[in-house]
Amino acid sequence: MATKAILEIRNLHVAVDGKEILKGVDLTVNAGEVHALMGRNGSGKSTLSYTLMGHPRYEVTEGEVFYHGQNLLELTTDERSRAGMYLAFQYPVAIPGVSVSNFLRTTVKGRRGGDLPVKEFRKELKQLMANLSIKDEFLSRYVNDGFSGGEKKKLEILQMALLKPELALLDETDSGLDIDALRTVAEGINTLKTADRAILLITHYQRMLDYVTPNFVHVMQGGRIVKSGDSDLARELEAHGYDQIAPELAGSAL
Amino acid sequence: MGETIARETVEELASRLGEPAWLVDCRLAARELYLQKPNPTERDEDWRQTDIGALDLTGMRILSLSSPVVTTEAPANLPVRIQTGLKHFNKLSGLLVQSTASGGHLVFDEDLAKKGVIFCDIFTAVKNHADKVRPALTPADGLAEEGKFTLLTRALFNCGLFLYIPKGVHIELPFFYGIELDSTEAVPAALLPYLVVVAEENSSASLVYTPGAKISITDGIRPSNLIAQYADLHIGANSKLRFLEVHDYSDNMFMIGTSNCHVSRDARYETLALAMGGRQVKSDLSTQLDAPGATSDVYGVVLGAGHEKYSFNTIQGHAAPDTTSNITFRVALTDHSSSVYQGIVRVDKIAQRTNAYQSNKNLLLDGNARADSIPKLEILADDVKCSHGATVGPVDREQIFYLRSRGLTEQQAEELVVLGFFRQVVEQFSLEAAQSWLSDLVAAKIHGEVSQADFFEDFDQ
Repeated sequence: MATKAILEIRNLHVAVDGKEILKGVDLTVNAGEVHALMGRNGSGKSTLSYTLMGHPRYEVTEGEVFYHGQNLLELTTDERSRAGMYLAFQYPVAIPGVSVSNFLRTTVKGRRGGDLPVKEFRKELKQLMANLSIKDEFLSRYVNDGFSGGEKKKLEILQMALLKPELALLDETDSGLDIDALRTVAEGINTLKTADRAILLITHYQRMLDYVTPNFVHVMQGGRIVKSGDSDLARELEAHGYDQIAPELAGSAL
Repeated sequence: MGETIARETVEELASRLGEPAWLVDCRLAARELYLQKPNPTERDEDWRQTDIGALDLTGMRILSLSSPVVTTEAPANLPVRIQTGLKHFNKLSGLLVQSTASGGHLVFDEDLAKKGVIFCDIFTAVKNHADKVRPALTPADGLAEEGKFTLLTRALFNCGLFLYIPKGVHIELPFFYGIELDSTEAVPAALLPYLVVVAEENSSASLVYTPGAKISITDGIRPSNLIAQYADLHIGANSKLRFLEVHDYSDNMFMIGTSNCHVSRDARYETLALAMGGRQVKSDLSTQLDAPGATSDVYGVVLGAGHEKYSFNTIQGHAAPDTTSNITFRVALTDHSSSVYQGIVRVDKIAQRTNAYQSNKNLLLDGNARADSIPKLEILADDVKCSHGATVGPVDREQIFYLRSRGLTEQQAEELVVLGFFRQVVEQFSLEAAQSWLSDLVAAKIHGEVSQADFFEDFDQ
């Protein structure tokens, strides 16, 4: 059976406030695959994730992106979400006054359409919360308001589990997590690994990849993918550092 | 601004209502003072940036409302706006509706009447309970200090409410008073409600009040109709009163109102004003803490759209030591709407150990909307804790992006952010029905339908 491309990025150039950050990214992600995108701070990883989700500050100056063969760049952020894309934010924003419970119900209702039977939804939610070791009182708190780093990341994973995206972009979901939380979050990600979905993990540490095994690892440097390989590449990076793996661009990104 | 009120207008109104001489004299005295006071203009501090110049009282019809019919159940033909409000309350202690289209209706729990509670329209109170309502209608310290529009209401009130809670009576279920002005005739029309609430010592009660008009304007006829109201509230020692005001008008309407609440020793006043529409809504909310231990919590939520203008002035008056006042006012504005909030904290020399807090936040959903916030502190005591803060700013685009990345449209995302912004105020108000009502009003205003009625229901808290 031919592999099915979910995401195809071709020669993507992106500028923020007139400054070019991405300088020609090429990447294809097929159904059933987990890709890890690694690189230093400032290498362009988060820019890529925000661009894919359509953040208005990120201006595509060149290149193309296809999602299921459709021109992604023509879609608004909410259309991308409804088409099955999901971004777990590195820094999720607080929405004071909006409870987690209401927020989840509103977004899930919007995605699944029609009426959301409260009873079934509650049951599903409770199960997912138990899996992620999230306490009930979480639901009546305001979204991300006064949350610890770990709580924010768990809420991102909880939403992902409810929305069941076909393409999940996880931006530094491992940062700020202790080892127990990391394991819990990784389990949450693993349950999403199915033959018809794909995951793009953005991280600068190997440790997440001990729990979520990627099919492909890409190293980003200076706004480009400079090296790709299998999961061994992540281990090499951990052992030898970015300078040795991508020597031609060492230091230039910072 | 309009011209004089003829003496005959007052006399005709009073005679049609068969009023006693003391009340006619009171109306005429108010008329005299009204005529002496200059018309307010946008240059007056209290009226800055208002649309008062566009209000023409010349030839305005002072409508007459029929006496309420007493029934045991709420009738089916109530105005839609009031029915929509009523559905947020399972049970009430009493319901009074005065509508220019469907007439007057009163439903009142007989057991409460037996306990000495009075709940009726103001004219019935004048006839049957003059001893209790007269002190409010004829204040001992005269009318000289009162504002032009309060005097107008005193001279010409053509509807109103009297609620009296005797000593020692505690009433959990709220009373509900609705007014509807649905005249579409070319000649402007006015309703002037006068509300008197007296809670004697050691009592408690809640009142919901919703004046409004949701007329559909056809054929370009846009009468500048007016609701000019005065609410006079007295809370006796160790008593508690909750007061919810919901203002929802079509965009031809002027609402000019003053409410004045006196709070006695160890008593508490808790009030929330929701303003959701109108050409010009101008409201002065004054609380006077008259004795030690008195507390007032005043909350306000305003959602403006189109070219609506809002002007809320609050006065936190501390006239005794050891008194506490809190004001939290939040305003969200779209389109070309505008708001001016002026918050006065007035602490008399005697009012030591005052605690006064004032917060006003404004959220601008459109670059054309405008909000101003003006705190004014008049503090004569020296041992006072007073804090105030104001912000004016646009919606955080990162919040909108976050919500849109979860599949909400821009409009849905803004609605959720606005509801959250308001919720932080409304959930402090202890009459919970205000929450679902607000959700409905916000949804209806933002996209013309009700979708977020369950916004405040957090299952499994």
